[in-house]
Amino acid sequence: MLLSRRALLRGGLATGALLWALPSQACTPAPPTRDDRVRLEFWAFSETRIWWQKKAHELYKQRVNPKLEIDWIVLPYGQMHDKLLIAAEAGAGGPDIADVEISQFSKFLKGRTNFVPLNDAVQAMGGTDKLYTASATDPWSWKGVIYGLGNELNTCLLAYRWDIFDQYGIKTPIQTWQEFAEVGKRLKEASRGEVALADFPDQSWGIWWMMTLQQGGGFFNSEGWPIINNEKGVRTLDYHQRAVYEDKWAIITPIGPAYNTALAAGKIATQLGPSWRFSGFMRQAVAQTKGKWMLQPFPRWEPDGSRTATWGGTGVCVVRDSFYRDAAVAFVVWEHMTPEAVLFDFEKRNVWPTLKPAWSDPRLTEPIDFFNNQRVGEVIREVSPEIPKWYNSPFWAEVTDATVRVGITPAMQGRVPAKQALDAAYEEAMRVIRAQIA
Amino acid sequence: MQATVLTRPSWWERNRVKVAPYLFIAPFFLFFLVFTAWPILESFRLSFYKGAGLGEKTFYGLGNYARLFGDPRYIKAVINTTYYAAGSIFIISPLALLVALAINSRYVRWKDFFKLALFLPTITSSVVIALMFSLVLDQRYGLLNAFLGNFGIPPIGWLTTREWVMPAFILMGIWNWIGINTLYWLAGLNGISRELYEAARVDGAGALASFRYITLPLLKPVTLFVIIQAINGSYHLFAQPFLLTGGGPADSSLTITLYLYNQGFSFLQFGYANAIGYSMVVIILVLSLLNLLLFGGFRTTGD
Repeated sequence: MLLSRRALLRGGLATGALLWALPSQACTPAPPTRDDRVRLEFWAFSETRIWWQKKAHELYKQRVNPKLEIDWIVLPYGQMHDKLLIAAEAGAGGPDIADVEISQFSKFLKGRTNFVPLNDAVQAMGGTDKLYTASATDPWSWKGVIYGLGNELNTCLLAYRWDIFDQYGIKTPIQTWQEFAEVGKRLKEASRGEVALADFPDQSWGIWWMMTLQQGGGFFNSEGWPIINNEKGVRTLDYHQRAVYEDKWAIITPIGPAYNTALAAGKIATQLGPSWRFSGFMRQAVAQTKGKWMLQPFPRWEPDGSRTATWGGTGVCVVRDSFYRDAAVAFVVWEHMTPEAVLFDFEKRNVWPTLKPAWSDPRLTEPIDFFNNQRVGEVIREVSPEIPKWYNSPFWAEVTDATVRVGITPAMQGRVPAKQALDAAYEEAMRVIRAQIA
Repeated sequence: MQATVLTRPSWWERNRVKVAPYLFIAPFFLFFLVFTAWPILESFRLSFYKGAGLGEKTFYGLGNYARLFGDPRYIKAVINTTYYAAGSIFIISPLALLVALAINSRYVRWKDFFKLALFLPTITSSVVIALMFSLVLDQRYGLLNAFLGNFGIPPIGWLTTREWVMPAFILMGIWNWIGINTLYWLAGLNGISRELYEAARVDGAGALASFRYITLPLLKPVTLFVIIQAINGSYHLFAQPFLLTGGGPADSSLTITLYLYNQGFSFLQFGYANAIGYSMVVIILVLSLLNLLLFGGFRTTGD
């Protein structure tokens, strides 16, 4: 059967219109709706994480702007950030608001900054004094400009197996890292090497980061240049090396499922981390250890030093190319600076908030059965003001990569001295950065 | 009687038989041009540009290509990937030939079952494979170390030690790719006439001699194909190291595609990432041409 000319032309026109419409739809900001409603697009990578934001949005519609609608789009982690990056590079096709994970944020600072500054809106809602800034704004700030807000406090604590500590007569709280090492040696002897007090990784930077930040160190100085090989970073890595190879009271962190097995079997007696580790990960991965864990602040490095740090988190950013950037900024800042809104995330995921006024809510300090009915929130509230300030940089990916690849792995595997390894990591980071900016 | 009025046929009526087929196939070419050809050309153009992250890029000439030669991480990635390719060519492909010979043998029954069983890993998702092998290759609780332990071999950090991580990926490759390679070889073996073997047997040739003087020479075209496939597939190794090791420990499993991804999507060095991509094209092209020369792939039947 021959196709008629009319049918063919119709088909051709329809195909042409479709081809034209697809990219134009993607590149054009959402137009205003007829009844003055504003419709925003929100990209996220976790359904559970945006639960509180959906609830906050309902509250926002009741209290502030009933005409603000949001389309929630959840994509896999890598895909969402890559798509956001591609949209930023193209200058169109992205969302109005996006969840940006801490490790992914810095790449959006390179060249043309992709996000809208939030400083004025934060100031209008009461200013940064209302926030624990080390977790709320530091990760998403660059040179004093706030490009995103985080609601997850992520105060780091030491989780310990109280049943094992009881069995071997270990008293808490352990006050200093020196004392922690002594306890480790005793536990090793008493358990005949069966139980390690801690695990230190050879292929990731998280533990090194927490213990270094606790001293006021980290990856970058205020200008965004690496400082990984300063005395604080070296001291931490040296401590890890000695614990694993010299005194042998700690082990290299097992990779993958082996880690859960070791934790569940009581082969590792402590865990360092923020709430997404001790409250999120552990309650899912080693649920059978319920009631056997308790928490204390980090042991100190110095007599008057900090007892905590922060690690991880996701910030909410408003995309520069958004058609409704004012409406988006207003919502993002409101949801992060309204106690009732941030408490939705505690309700859903046990995420303690970065917003200080929210801490008057008694639910945050209620006993938690997984932690032997300890009032975990009270420990967090006590130490959170001690989280040191830190700085992000456009070169986060390059520096964290070099720190692990050339610093931590060789030191923790090949036993290269800590100072030598971190000096080499610093040189490698600078080599990569210089190649980019030359 | 009314006279019939003859009108000149329109352009469409005169040409539609010629034109319509092109219009039917046009959508494919339109999509190909927009989503394949244009990105290929655009990425080639971008490989001559440099820019810090998002926004403007400046012309950098051959700078990105020159940088490849002085970049120790790129060289490491090429070495790792070539190591894996060598494993594919010299371990996986011969093993697949042995399996094909075994399946093709008159003594083996349930041939279809073996073909199906061996082929299944080929269509298994890379994510599933990575997850499965993270359990198999675990140093403390993994299946492989438990098995090796029976022979007194101490636990090996397959994915955590520098010297073992690439052999671990080759092991994964064996499981993953032996099936499809076996099918290639089987196709080649089935194309060899039985009469040749019978004639050789009459002349007193044993099994080994038949394999050496009949099977191997007549498998040359398939060998050429299998090796080109192995080279091409190996130089695209990405998912397993990305999911299992991230290229570590200390770049021991960094592959070219993984390095390209890191440069493009982690460091935002789009120009350099494109240069890495095109360097991969050159490597695969050169190796494939060498392979064609070695196996006489350019010769015609008349030669």
